[in-house]
Amino acid sequence: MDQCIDNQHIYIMLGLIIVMPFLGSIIQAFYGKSLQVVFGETYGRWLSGSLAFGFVGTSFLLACNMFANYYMFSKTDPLSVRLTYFHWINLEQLSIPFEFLLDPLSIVMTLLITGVGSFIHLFSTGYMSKDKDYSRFFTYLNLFIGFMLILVLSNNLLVMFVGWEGVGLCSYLLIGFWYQDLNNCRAANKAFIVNRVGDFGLLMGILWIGYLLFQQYGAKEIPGFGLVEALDPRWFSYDIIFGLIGEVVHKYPEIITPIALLLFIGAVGKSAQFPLYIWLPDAMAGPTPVSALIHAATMVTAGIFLMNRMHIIYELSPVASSVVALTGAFTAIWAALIALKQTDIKKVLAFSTVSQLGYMFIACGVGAYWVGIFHVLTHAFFKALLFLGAGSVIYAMSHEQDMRKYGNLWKYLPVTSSTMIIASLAISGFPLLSGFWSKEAILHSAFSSTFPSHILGLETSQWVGWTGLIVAVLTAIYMTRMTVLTFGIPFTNGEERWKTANYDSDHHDVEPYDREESVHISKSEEKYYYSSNIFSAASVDDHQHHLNKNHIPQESPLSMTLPLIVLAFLSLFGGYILHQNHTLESLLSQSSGPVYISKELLHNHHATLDVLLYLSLAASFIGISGGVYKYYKGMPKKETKQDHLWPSLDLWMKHQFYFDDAMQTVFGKMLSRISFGFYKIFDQFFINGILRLIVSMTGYVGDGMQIFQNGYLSSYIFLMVLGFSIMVFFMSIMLIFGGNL
Amino acid sequence: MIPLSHYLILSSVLFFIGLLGVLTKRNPVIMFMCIEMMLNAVNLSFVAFTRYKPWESLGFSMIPIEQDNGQIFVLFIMTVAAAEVAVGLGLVMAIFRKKQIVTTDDQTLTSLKG
Amino acid sequence: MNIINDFLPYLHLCPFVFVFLTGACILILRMIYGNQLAMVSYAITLAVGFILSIISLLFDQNIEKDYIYGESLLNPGSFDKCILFIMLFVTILITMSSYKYLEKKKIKAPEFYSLLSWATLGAMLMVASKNLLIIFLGVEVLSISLYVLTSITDYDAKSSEAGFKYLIMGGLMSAVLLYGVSFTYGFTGTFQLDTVKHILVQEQYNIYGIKIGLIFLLTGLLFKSSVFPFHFWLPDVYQGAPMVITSYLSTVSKTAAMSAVYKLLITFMTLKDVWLWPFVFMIIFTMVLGSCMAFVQKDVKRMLAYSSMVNGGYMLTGILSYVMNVQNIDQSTMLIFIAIYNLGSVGLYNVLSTLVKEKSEDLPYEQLHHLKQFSKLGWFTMVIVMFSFIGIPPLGGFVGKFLILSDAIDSSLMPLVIAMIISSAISTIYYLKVVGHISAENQSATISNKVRSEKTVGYYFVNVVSISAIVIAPFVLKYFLNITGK
Repeated sequence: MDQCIDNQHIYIMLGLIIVMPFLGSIIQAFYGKSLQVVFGETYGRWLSGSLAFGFVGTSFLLACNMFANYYMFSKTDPLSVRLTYFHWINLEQLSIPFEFLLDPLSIVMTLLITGVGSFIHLFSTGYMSKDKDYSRFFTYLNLFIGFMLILVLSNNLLVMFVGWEGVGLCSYLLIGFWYQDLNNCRAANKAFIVNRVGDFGLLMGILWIGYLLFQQYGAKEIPGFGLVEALDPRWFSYDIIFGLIGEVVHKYPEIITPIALLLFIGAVGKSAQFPLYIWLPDAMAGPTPVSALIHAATMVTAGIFLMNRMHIIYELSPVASSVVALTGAFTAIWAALIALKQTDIKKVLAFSTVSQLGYMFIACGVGAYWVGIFHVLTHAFFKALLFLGAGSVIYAMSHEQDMRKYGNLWKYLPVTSSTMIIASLAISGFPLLSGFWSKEAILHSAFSSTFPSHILGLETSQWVGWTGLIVAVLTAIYMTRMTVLTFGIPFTNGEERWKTANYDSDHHDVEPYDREESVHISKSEEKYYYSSNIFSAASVDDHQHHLNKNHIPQESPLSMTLPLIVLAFLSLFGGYILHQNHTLESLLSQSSGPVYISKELLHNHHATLDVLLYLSLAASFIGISGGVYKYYKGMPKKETKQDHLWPSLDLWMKHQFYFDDAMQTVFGKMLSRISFGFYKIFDQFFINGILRLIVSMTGYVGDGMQIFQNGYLSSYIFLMVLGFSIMVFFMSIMLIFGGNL
Repeated sequence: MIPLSHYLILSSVLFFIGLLGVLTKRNPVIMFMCIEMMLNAVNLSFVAFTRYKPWESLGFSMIPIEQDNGQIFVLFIMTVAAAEVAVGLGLVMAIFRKKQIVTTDDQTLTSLKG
Repeated sequence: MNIINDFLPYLHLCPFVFVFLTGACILILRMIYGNQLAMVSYAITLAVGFILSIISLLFDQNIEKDYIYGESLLNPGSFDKCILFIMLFVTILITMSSYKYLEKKKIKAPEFYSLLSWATLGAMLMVASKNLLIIFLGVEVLSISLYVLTSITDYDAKSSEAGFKYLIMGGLMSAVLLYGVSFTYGFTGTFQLDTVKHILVQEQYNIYGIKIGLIFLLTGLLFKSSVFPFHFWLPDVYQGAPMVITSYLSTVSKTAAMSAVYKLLITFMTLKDVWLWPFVFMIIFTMVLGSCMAFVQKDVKRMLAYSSMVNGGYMLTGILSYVMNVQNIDQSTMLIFIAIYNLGSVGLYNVLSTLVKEKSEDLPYEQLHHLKQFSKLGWFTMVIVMFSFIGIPPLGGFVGKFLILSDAIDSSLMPLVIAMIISSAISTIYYLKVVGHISAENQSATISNKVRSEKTVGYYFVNVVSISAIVIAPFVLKYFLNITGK
């Protein structure tokens, strides 16, 4: 640790970075409405939005300043400093300070969160400008940034858990932002409940780690020597854990795998991996900037961050690592297949996010932790851009989200379309764009890894590498499909498609199984967006948001296009900048680099892998050209009919392999039946029964005693004398037996 | 000399006769009289105890015992009994004035119950 | 100087003399001024006299031993002084809450207040003395005053009935008490409980006479503290008495009886083989059956009577745990419970006394409706007191119950602990019933607020004192422990 650094300075800077969003949130919460009252509707909103953007932007600038001072131009080793602000829990044998850790990993994440966050705030000022609950939105959004910063900056598993739960809460609030719609509330509840499963695992893992260290190194009663106090009882702090866990694992090697898996369950929940991914597609019910910020760029990457933070534990457990890699690979291909057949533009992006998160877990599972963060960064650029672009499109298309009604938007939305095309090229792995570098790095590390991760005799890393390649092809296909459908194909029957679509029948042209699923979110969002929008009647008329034949899409205002342009720039060059000269790798090597495994072992360059570059380039081109070839005429008729080559597979993909429905059935219906049974048996019958029994017994005893309390004086006296006699009788027995009754 | 036990037996017999009277009688005046009889039984035992000092024959090793004169108690008891009866008769009169009848098990005196 | 020196030996009697003189003064004022004085002036006289008494209670610490005459008769210790302080303070509060009520009920204030003073004098004697003669006198002074006070509303048949029942049973039981006194005296030769204890400890004294005396003594005092088989008077008297006297019965009178029982148990500790288990069972029945009875009541006053019986059971549990384990348990538990119970009850009855009708003392639950509209403060007081009685944690009632429970566990009186928990659980139901009824807003509005007497300064004062006592009790706990602790 560099001692010459002015600690006071860092303390204040970091404190400000964290406090700023919270301050913004508080101001929005208490004064947001008053601003609109005092300064009028328009200026109040403008002021409110600028304040929200300003606080996060300030945070971003401070973080940039800090990064520049201590990392970018620093000649010494990257700074890693622990800052304790106050004591949170202070017991004799357990101390949990509110402490933060400033190291390359956390500063990179801080830059990402505040940077992307401030652009998305800027975008939101435009996107949400007509919403009734303008300041409420920014209250939540600022609060989210604050909790996310706590999550990444904490030096303590429990403080991190505070942030972890805080972002979960904000996610819940923002998914259900338009709470008048029951579907949004359901989606919010689903996200919250599914995340609870993960959080349970995480908490178990955290507590297990703490307990393990306490048991091994806590105060001990040594016979004849008295109580030996522990030196530093901060059992949940990273520095303590990493310092001691190796020794513990050396003693009990079998204990690390369950801990790692429990932590991974937390990551699976938050980062939407296979069994628990089901909340993320539904979370798209929230406003689009929320999807961009929380459900694409930052919060869902918390799992990757956790992997990086606790990477020492995963290094020690090959089994857990291979589980991570396999889960990631499976999720990647699973979600990519589903994304292939979605018609809702936000759903495509949602499944794409799930798929890309799977990619990141592949990287973490094969031991290349920094690569995971690399992909987090590039993915944040282009996925945020894609979501914001989609938001811009939706904004222009009167909140219609069905891609089949888009088309020819290139003509109307030049900025949006050009930036979005850049983003989809980036995610497809087009050479030299940012996605190319990170995806290449992941595949490279997967194929070259000799990380001892094998499960059931399976060479995990090779398998996940090949899976990654296939997913790269699929990604390119569905992204091209989306882009082409949205911007490309000009006409069907000489008219733009939203003009020919059958509005009277109200989506009846869609297949029956499609109707319920893909439409309800767009419809409901549309409906309740405007029901919550109770401005002047004129404004409602302007936004008569039922897409009609005479609709002419218009480009979004500058506040929305500016973030698009910046993010497009980052999508273009970000990957190259970060990859060049191993910038990110060398920066992150301190905090995410391997500790117990030698670097050479991890990156054993096989000569055969030179082909990989060509393979992934081929994957990208095959995907893109395939997508263009198939969709340049618009949605093939085949796809809406059932006479497909593999109709059942098609159907299954459209329906997310029925996994969500199965989960709904198992947990939503069967479990609730079981719960209801338990409720009937235990709660109603036993608990209530016991209570009723007690109450009625009390009543009976009371009524019975009222017979004696009959108001007759003579009866009272008689009863008293009787009681006295019984008392004397018992006392005589006591006398006879000497009280040893 | 008549032994102490005779007085005590007499006193207890009086006491329980009084108690039986309170138990069986329904007329408040007679009940007061029975209570008076119980109090007088107590008086008798106090006087007897004070006269015979039975504790002296028990041979306490602890010296000195602060000995009280129990006959003082008798005076207090008589005073208290008089006060009690005065209040009681006043009450009886009050009730009688309202209801024209005083029997403890009368309807008017059993309204408080439950 | 000579005059002062002449008075010095009697200074420790000042609290009692002041209380006695207060009663006398009130009657003299009545004689001098006739009906010209407002009721408030009598209440103020009583309050002033009692405050003087409290002051003298606090200031007679420094008298040298030689100067005390009649030490064996009246010699309160620090614990007794705390109890005396509580009783005097509570009586002042009752007085402050009562004068409007007396106007409403057309009760003559001079008689009422002088009898109240003298009843308090009797209670003080019960607490302050360890001499059976004085305790007996205290019981009688208290009881006879209360017989009159209970039946003081001469137009109310129920009031007369309550007084009559109380009188007959009380008279009978004082005879029983006296019989016990006579036997105790006859076999120890003294009225002094300290000496009796000394004899029992030193001489391994174990003959039947003293045990008979103990049984009768205990019966007489358990009647006053309304323990199970001797509790029959309690609900009838509580219901029939004027609300203010109900308040007095459940606070000062009960406290005095508890104090006497406590002294008796301490004295006869060596004979605990005889009385302990019957006594434990009586307390259990008191608590459990009392709760059951309170549960089925339709009248608030009657319910509160049983509730006070249950609380008496808790107090006796505390007393018994202390007596069983004198070395390890602090007296402050009892003090805290008694203080919080007394102050809570005063606040409670203070609010209720504004709700009763002019001609009838009955108070069905429905009469509690719309209390919030009538008096927000009163509503709040009731809620706080009820929650405190239930034992909701931050409030004083919880602290009291908790301390008693932990003491009982320390003294390994598990049956009592279990019974106390059961009765607490049951008591929650009927206390919450009261909370529900006072909070009821849109029930049938048959009882108009006009019936309710107007709120006075005393009303507000008593409520505020009651609330603050219950709320801050946990925080002054440490101070309490310091001044009375070992």
